[in-house]
This record gives sequence, structure tokens and C-alpha cells, in this order.
Amino acid sequence: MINILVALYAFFLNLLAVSIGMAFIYSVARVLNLAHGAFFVLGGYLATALITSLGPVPGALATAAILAALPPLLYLYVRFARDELEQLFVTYALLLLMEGLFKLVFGYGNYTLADLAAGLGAVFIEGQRIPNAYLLGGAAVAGLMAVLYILLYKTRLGLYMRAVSDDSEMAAALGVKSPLVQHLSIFLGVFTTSLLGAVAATWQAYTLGLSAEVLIYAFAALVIGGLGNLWGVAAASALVAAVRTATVMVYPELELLAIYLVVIAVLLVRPGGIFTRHARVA
Amino acid sequence: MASRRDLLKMGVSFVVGLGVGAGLTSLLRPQVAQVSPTGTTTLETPKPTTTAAGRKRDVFKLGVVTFQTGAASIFGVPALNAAQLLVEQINQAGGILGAKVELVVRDESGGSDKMIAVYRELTQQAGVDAYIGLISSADCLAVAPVAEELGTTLTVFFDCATKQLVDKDMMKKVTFRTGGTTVTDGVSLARYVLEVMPDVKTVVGLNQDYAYGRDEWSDFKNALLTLKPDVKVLDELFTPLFSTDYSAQISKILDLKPDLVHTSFWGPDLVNFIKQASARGLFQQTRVAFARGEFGLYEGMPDGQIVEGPHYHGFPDPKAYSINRDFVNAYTSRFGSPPPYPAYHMANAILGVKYAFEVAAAAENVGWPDLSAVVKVFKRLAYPAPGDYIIMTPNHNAMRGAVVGVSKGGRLTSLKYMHPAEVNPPVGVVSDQWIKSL
Repeated sequence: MINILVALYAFFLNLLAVSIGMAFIYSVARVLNLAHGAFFVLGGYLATALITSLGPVPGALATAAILAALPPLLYLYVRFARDELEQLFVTYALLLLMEGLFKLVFGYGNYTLADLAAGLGAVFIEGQRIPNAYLLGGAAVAGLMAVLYILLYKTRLGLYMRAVSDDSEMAAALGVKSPLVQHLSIFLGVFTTSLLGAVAATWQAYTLGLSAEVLIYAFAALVIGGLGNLWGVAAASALVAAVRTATVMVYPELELLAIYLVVIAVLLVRPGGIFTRHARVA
Repeated sequence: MASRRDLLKMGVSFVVGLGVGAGLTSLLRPQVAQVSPTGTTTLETPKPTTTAAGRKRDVFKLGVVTFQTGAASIFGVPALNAAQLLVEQINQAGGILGAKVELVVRDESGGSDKMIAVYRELTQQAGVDAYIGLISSADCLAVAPVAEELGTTLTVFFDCATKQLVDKDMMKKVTFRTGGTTVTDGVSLARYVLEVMPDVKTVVGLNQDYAYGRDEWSDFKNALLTLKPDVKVLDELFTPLFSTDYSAQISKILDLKPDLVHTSFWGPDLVNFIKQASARGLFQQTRVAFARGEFGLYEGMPDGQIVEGPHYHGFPDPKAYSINRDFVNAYTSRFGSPPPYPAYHMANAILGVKYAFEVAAAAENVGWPDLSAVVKVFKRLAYPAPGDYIIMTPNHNAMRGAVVGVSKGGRLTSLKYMHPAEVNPPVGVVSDQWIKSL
């Protein structure tokens, strides 16, 4: 039993880490960031490289500093895109560009902090090892979710973000600087994404080609949860984790399809996703 | 809104552009339309230097196709490294029949349709004298029929391990493979497992959900069950390629408590499984047999696991076998780590091409052999390569042995070489039938 719970928890954590940033950017700025996976992977690469060479604390600080300085890059880039189609082109091009840069800078090897994380030890429940890294990772993800929650619901900027998310023209008419708010949320979303990528380096390895794989999972969670709904993404991750774990336990042949079956089922029953309250204004 | 004049301008510039473009193209690349025997029209660029067979050449163009992007770069990059290293060495020693070898490199990413296009481009336009390539089985299965139909270029698959190439007799004219199949992997691993774990009772399979993973598992499972029928398969797990989380599988294995787990994981999946399984204590409870575990040795694989490399740099003993010693030393000093098995696979292919051309020229007593002579020689050729003596057979496939060992401190120990005859079906026997007859 405890083993099933660990599996559920680990996959939930994994999926949540992968999808929060993408949901955030889409919900406020309406940018479907196809380079999302690449930013996640970038966080993992940087954290591994810097923490193994500089040591845990300076490495983590350096990683955070570099990651915070990166979003302006995306800003410059996304400015060129005027509509959704251009966004897709522009962000997909960015994905390819970043993959090329990864090969140039990090080579073709595997990057992971799992060994460092293993040094954190484990707790034993019913004789089963539960790595502390999973628990700390969970705490990190929960902390980030809390920060995003406070930002969105307890601050003025959050109010603007929600207003822009609901109807950016109306928000602009009422005096909100819509484009500025959108760009800020892109910064935040990308920063969150790469930070979570860095956290996930404690349980997974990064290598070339992973950006596109990450994107598929994030996109599935986004669609299931309801496009652009932060809490929907959390519910979607839990749902997919439950279905996937059940599949592996009962009928592993189907695992390849599990996540897509959930997507199809949700789209059939609630085409807008689980957590869509009302139709969005374009 | 564009006015009529604008439209006219656009129309005119379009036509002018087309004309200029066509003119430039014809200047740059003379093309001849050719109707092939099958009725499809192909555009062919005549080779700039059409030398008659028999006369010496200055340049030997060697096309090399491996993954240079994506997760499979972990195989493709070392393979290309080995190709560059060997070509330099061959050129320093006078080239192939006096011709300087020039590499024409392409990326394998993009899927099998693209690999067919790349094959046509290399053979018809770039005019390579020989083609070496392909790690993915799907790519080999797609390119082989095209290569056979065109029949223009010596084509050597250096790494893909699908048994269908031999079982369906797909390599008959110009296509060869200098490596073994998933049968070689499965049978050698099963034999070794039974040597070190004679009492093995239960096994779980954990493989990637695509043709290669399924083949590796079924060949291993069938061999193990034939050699020891009382082994019980507790479960067969298949995971999507490049999953980053294996907790569900690890949980299931921890609950099932098998004696042995078989996996053919590679790339990030191999690393993720090793790390996550170590963190959960799986290796303390169960032994794992890895069909592609060599890369895991450098990623913290726990001691005592069974690893099959199709090759391993410690075999044949570099002290005794200078060809391997020189290869390991040259590769290590240049690229910083010992050559992994894809580097050996590439060496097998490049040396195969070299020896096939040289032996054919000697046999025919000409300066440059034609393709039919090369093919005739290649299917009966045996030659020394860094990792083994490569023995080619009339079904255009190598009879390859395999090296299996036990992990210890990031190295393989207790190495055992499995003789080709014990881990491959004889020529003409279908793999599955042969495994059942073990």
C-alpha cells in the first residue's frame, strides 16, 4: 500500500512541476509557450552543472540568479508574435534554438542531482524507503504554489493579472497596463518553470531531446485542468497520477495510453477542461 | 487591400523570381531526369568524377548517418567520434586503396521517411561511395528496401538491432549489417544470468514500449524460459519512451519481489531508473539484468548487476590485443572517456567497408573494385576490429558474439565472451524457431 502511495505522490509531483509554469503563462498572457519544456530542462541543466561545480548553496543561488535574468530573452522574442499562430512559430523556433544551445554548452550526457539528493537520506515507513528528496521536492513545489496563490489573490498585481486573464481589453479600458501585466506574467511563468526544472533535477535526469517530451505532459495537464487554470492543473496532475498508477498496477500494457485516455475522457465530458468556470473572452 | 496594380506587380515579380531561380538552379546543379525501372522519375545529378571501374581514385566519400540531436545522441555522438578518429587513422595510413576518405555526415533525427530522403540524397546527389548508418531499428527497416531497390551503393547498418532484417531476408544485394540483433542480446544475457544465478525462479520485465524494447524482452524471456522452463514471469512492464518517473514500476517490483528484473532501458530512461530505483532500495532486494547497461556504469549503477554490452572496452583484454588497446587509448585521450559500444559498432562498420574494398580489389586484381565485387567479398569476409573479429555471413549479417559481465565500482568484472554460434541463429534459421530449439 505504502508503495502505491509513493508512486502516486511521485508522479503527481513530477507532473505538477512540469505544468504549473505553462498554465500560469497561458492563463494570464494567453501565450502557448511551446518552448516551455526547454525552460524546464534549462533549469535542470543549470542547477546540476552549477551545484556540482560550486557546491549546494552558491550553486543554487547562481542558478536562481541566471534563471531570473533569462525571461527578458523570451520577452524580446514573444514581442515579435502578434497572434497565436505566430506565437506557435516563435516559441517552437525557440525550443529548437535552445536544444541546439544545450548540445553546445552541456553536450550529450545526462545531468541530474539525484546523487546529491540520495545523500539526504530516506524515511522508512512499513519497511519501505521513501527518499527525503521527494518530500523536500514536494515542499518546494507546494511553497511555489503558495507564493503564486498569494501573488494572484492577495496583491494588487495579482488582481490586475486576474483581470487581464479574464478580459484584457476591458482591463485596459479600466486603466490596467495590460501588455505590461502580460509580460510580467511571462517572466514569472518562465522563471517558475525553470526553478521547478531545477527542483526536479533531484529525481530526474536531463539530456538532449527532453524538452519536447516534457511539453507533451505539460500540455496534457493543461488541457485536462482547463486551459489556463492553475488549480485545474493541480487537479489534473492528481487525476493523471491516479490513472497512471492504477494502470501500472492492474494492466501495465496500457501505460503508454493512460495519459491520453484521460485527456480524451475529459474532453468528451467537459470539453473546456475540469475547472473551467465560464467561457473565456478571446 | 492590394490594388490591381499591386497584384500585377506581385505577379510579375513572382514570374521573374521563378525564372531567376530556375536559371540559378540549373547553373548550380546540372540535373538529369531519369526514369528508373520501377517507373518512378527521379532527378539525378551525375557524379562529377565518373571514373571507370578499375582505375584508382583520389577521394572515397563515406556517408555517415547517426543521431546528432535528441536523446539518442548518447549513441550517435560517440559513434561519430569513432568514425572521425578511424577515418583520420585510415587516411594517415594511405586511405582506402590510395583514396583519401571524406566523411559526409547527416543527422538521424526526423523519422524513417526522412532517413529515406537522406539516403537518396547521399547516394544520388552527394554521390557517396559507401553509406554507413542508422541506430534506430525503424530507420533500418525503412531504408533497407530503398537501398536494395536502388542497388547503387554499398550500405552498412552499424547499430540497429532488429532481427527482422535477417528473419525476413531483407539484406540481399548491397545492404549489410556488421552488428548482432536483439537475439544476440537476449540469448547472451539469459545464458549469463543462468550461470551466475542458477536458482533464479522469478523475473519481471521492464522495457520501453516500442519495437526495440518489446523485441529485447521477448528474446530474453523466450531464451530464459527455454533454457530454464520453471522460471516464472511475474509481470511484463512497458513504459513510454523517455518517461521521467518510474515510481509506479519500482513500487510494483518492490511488491512483487522477483529474483531478477530484465531491462533494455537506454539514455535518460536508464539513468532515471537507476537513480530512482537506488533511492527506493530496489537493488538491495532484486538483481537487475541490463541489455544496454554500459552507460549506466558511469551513472552510479550499484555493484552486482548483470550488464550485457554488445561491446565493452575491457574486452578483448587491451594488454593482449593491441588493436583494442590502440583504439581505447586514442579514443580516451581525444574524447576524455573510454569508447562505449556505439563507438565499437561504428569501428566494425568502417573497417568492414575498408577491408571489403581492399580485398575485392586484390581478388579482382584491379585498382578499384566495382560494387558487385565488393558485395561478393563482403558477405564472406572476416576481419579484425577493436572489439572482436567480425565474421560476415552470406545473409549479409555479422555473426557477433557478446560480452556480459557484472558491475563493480563503475566497471564490468567477471567478463564473459559469448561465442557467436551460441548466441545467434545459424544462417537461414528464423530467430524465434532457433530460440525455441535451445
